[in-house]
Amino acid sequence: MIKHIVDDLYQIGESAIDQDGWCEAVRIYVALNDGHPLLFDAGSHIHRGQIMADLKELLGDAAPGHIFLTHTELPHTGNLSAILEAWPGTKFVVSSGILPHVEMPWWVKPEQIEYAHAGACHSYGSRQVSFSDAILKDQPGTQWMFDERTGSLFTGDAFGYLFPEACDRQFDDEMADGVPVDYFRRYHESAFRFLPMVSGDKVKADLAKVMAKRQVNVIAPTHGNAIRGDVPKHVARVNEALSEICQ
Amino acid sequence: MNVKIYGEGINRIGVRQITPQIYWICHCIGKDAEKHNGGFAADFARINPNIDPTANDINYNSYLFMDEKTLLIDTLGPAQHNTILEVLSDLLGERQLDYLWISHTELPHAANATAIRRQYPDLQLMAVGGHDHYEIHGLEDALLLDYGDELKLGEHEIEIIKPIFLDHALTQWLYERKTGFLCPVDWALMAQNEHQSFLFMDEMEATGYSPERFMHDVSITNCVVFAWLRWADPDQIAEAIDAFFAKYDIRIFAASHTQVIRKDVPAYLAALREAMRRAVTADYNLVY
Repeated sequence: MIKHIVDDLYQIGESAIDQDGWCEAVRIYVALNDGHPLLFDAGSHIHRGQIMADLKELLGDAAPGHIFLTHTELPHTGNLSAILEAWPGTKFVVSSGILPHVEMPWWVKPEQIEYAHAGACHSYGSRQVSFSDAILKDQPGTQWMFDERTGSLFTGDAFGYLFPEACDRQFDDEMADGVPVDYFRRYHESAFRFLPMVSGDKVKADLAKVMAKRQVNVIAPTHGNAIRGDVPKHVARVNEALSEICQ
Repeated sequence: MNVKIYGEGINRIGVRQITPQIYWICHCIGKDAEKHNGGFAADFARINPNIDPTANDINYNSYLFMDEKTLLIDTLGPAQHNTILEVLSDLLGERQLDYLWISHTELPHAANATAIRRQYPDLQLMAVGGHDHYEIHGLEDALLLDYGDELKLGEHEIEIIKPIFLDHALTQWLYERKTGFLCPVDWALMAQNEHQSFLFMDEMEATGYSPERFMHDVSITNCVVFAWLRWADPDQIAEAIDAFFAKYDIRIFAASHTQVIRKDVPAYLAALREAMRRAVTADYNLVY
């Protein structure tokens, strides 16, 4: 499923559905980047066929220049082998906090890995990507990335949401009233099991610092569709969900 | 020290016997750890002078129970995929691996599940229940366990327990009643230098280590492992630890990234409690 978000930024990837009809998205974000395409996360191995078909349609003759990994968990890296098989020259950008010999597939060569430090900003083709610590995460060595051209913040697991199948292909501005608080709550209480042990006010204060530091036009979670219509409204809804889950 | 070593560098695994029926299967790099692990100890030591600036190595531990039934805890990481199969062949001989328990689905813990299943096709894969969408984690046919579930291996009785410190949602801890063996997974991660590879914690003391040093190190490393601690309350954390220690008689502390603690356990548990209190109030130096 190829969805155009803004400018040269696209979303692909499929969803898994549970017995009760709730879906969990596993997205890849693709910036075409004037012939030096950038991928943010690599998608799930269970969606390999559709992901590769969509990537080839979207990229045409251009090979991905870099894949940025928010973290190395399987839903974010499961499709790496297929991407590397198709485009063996692709490089990876990972957090400086990971140890590749235990967190990257064994067949990835050390020279394919580039490390990003939180606080750094680097050029990739024609655009700048900056890196920060992931504020809400389920694995050490998780990073968030910010695309300076589109104002897109790639948040990995954070800002994800579960949704009914009818919403699978809808951005927030294509839904009647955006993404409901309940969808965010369902995902965050499931993905971040430590939240009931912490202060919601402290979590929200940290998220506010992230939003205050940059102009975020798009939030791009791996486990949800891009939020592009009304970012402040949806940050408020995530905060409301956190208030329900946390202390 | 009685250790059998397989492979070298990023493939290296050392095997030690904790009890006659429980083996510690440990990956750590040794002398090239600084090169492969980015020299993180020097970064820690710049702001924390008490940290050993040469402690660039981290353990990745699996454990094997050899009872009437056999159970493997976790699989080690991608680079150890061939070595772990060799280790299992050596330890198990003609026996089958009956159970593979995945503490959580991060690659350093679960990456070799497929390769191990290929070698032991009849094994039962086990993971935490109560979640959805297991297929994207590669666990679609795992036996899903609830906290409190029990598994009899023979003399050893495994209990699946709810973690008090976790990062990944699909995390569970494991306790064995006969030996007081606790696997608290990522809790208490520590680093060591090349001269401390494969040492039990009591043997570490000959290299200058101590419960006080453990307390200091874990109070720093666990800020990284459990970054959410900065949002927690130190007294609530201490209460949770006290309740946990009161409930379980821990005689072998066998975590995923810690030297195995088999002697003087109460002193190290007390140090661990204080380490977590300190971690809650530490400066996390986050980049927003």
